Amino acid sequence: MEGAAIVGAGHTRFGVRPEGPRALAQEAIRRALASVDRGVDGRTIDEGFLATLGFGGWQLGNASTVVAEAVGATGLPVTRIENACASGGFAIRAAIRAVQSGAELVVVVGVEKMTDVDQARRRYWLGVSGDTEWERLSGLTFAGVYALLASRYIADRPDAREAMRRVAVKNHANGALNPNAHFQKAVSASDVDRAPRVAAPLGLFDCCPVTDGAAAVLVTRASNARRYTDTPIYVSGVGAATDRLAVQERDEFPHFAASRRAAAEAFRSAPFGPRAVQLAELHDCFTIAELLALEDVGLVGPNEAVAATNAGRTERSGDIPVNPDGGLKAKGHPIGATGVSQVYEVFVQLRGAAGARQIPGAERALAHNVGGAGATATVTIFERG
Amino acid sequence: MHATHWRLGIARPRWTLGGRAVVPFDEDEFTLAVRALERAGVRTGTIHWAGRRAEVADDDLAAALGGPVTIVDHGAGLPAVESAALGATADAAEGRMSAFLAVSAPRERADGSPAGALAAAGGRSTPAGPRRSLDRSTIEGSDEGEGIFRAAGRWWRSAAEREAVEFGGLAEDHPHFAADAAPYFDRWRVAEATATRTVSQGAYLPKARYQDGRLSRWRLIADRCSRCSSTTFPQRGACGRCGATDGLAAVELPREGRVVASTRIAPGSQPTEFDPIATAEGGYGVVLVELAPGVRATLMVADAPTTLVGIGARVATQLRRLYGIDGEWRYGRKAVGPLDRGPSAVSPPPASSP
Repeated sequence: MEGAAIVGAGHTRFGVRPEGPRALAQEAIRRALASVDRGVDGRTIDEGFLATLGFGGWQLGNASTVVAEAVGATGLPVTRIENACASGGFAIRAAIRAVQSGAELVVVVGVEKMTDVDQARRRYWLGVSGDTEWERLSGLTFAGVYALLASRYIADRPDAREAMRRVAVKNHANGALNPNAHFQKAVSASDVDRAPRVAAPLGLFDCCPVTDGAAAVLVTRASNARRYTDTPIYVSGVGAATDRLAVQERDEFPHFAASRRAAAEAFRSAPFGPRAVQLAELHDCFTIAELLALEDVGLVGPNEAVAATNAGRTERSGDIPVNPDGGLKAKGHPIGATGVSQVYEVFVQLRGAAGARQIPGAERALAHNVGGAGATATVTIFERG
Repeated sequence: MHATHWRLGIARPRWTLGGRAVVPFDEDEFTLAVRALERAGVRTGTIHWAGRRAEVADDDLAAALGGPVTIVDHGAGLPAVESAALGATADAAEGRMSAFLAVSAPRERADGSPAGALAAAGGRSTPAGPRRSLDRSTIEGSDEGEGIFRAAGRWWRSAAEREAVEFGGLAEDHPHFAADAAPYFDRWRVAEATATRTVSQGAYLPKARYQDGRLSRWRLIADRCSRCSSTTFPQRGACGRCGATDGLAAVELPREGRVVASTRIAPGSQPTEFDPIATAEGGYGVVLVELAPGVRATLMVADAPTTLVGIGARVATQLRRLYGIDGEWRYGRKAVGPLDRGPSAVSPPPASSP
């Protein structure tokens, strides 16, 4: 089957932005088009995907039209993809499938505008991706679902609290080097410990923030990639899966079977295995999620995430750097943008253009995107050509 | 002569506040009645109801108990209950299941007298002709019921006395608020007056789907698959493992289980439906309870101020108010306990962690 490649990527500053979602999407797309080494005319794009939850309900129906408007290509077919926090990953996957089906150049933009929604509505929109009939009626919040998972994980692994603390400290340290990150400030272990609990055992620094932002990438057929750049980033494999919506109904708990299945599918077509990955973007909406993901996608073996994290292996200087951009934790988590932002980071890292946070010599990378608390997941694997 | 078997069920909130007995926010006539009837083993039949019935419908009570019931209202007061008891005795003697129920659930009782519900169920007798008096020789029910009847000839008054002895001594001061009870009562009153008018921002479920989910949510009904023997909870109309849509049998899950995951939601982040309870109680616990191997339910922890039920604890479940919406209350099971820490669920809960 025809392979796919990334030939351009753009990213807005994440944070509290004055702009609305339309302007954020436009900015990310403009930056992605401008990043193409040999230049590209936006009007040659023949397919588009928009990843957004539609947080706050700003434009739930027909939101895809903003992409066509941003590209300056009225008439471009664009499809909105919504799988909660994994919308971006599923949109990337859809773009890969589109070029495999004959599309020439596909734009994927993920965007979310979250900070202009008032508190009560924000609580509503943060919860819409969980199971309503049982989890929501029991009073659970988004953080609460992950807190249940964390409580179980900690009960079975005595050093897990230390590992969660290290994830927070590491990702904030990485975010401090990322000019696009929402939080560009390091935090100490005692900052993490002293923070108020949001949903015990999770405290404030275990949780990703509410953030505005957008990211965009350009995907083309592998055989066409060098028309755009001498250093395309090739897609080595992609996988996606769903699981039962409610955590209480899952066979695997607290781990995410959807992540495991998505990784297995992605690695089936890759010429290398998980242990050869040199850089990973893992979905760390909460610190516990990074630990679960390390094991679920196979970067470490079962029950090895705590030891690997506590040994510093996932730091930028370690042998499996995880979330060098700060992750969702520090970079921020504009829901629809996150999965696309992860691919942006892979693109700049594998091309050696990540600046102060560059992982030297990284050639093989993995991006892992989760919707809700593991109900949907994608894993995409990349290598430098 | 043939005996009538009596079973007695008592439901009483355990908190006291500033010396006053308190019915907490998530309890009302419906939840207390259901619990007393559950404890008396009542599933079906005629229920003679004394006390304020509020908006409890026959249909709701039937859904909660799991069988058709007919409610006969006797208004308030002991005489009504006593005459109901006489009638019920006659019913039972003729082979009909019958229960009588006294419910008293004002939010606070200044005199410290018991608030709660008491149900007595009579049935499974062989015909001996109608009896017109409560001869204690006809009582062969549970130890509890028998003891109460023997303690004093008249069941209701004596049962109330026994309840006061047995439960009153264990009533606990509400530890977070007892020192300053007035603001707490004020919050309850405001919450109760406004809760059902809350605009949903987070946990909205249309009424039809809430009604559809009552079996699972109120009685923990699951589907057992005859093809692969797995249990699907809540019911989905298909086996969660093999996908079979026929050969599913409704089964009632145990109403106790082991906590496998636990959290405490800090006030401020909860869906707005839970604002009243989060504000009044300073947050609340939520646990994942394993009711049967591999079958789990997500449940709010009732009596939240002190009860952070940890992993490994064994808990019971009780029907409680979840929240009010669209002008009415919605109910579901909550976790109470832990049971592990004593012989009964009224033992003191563990101290909450931060």
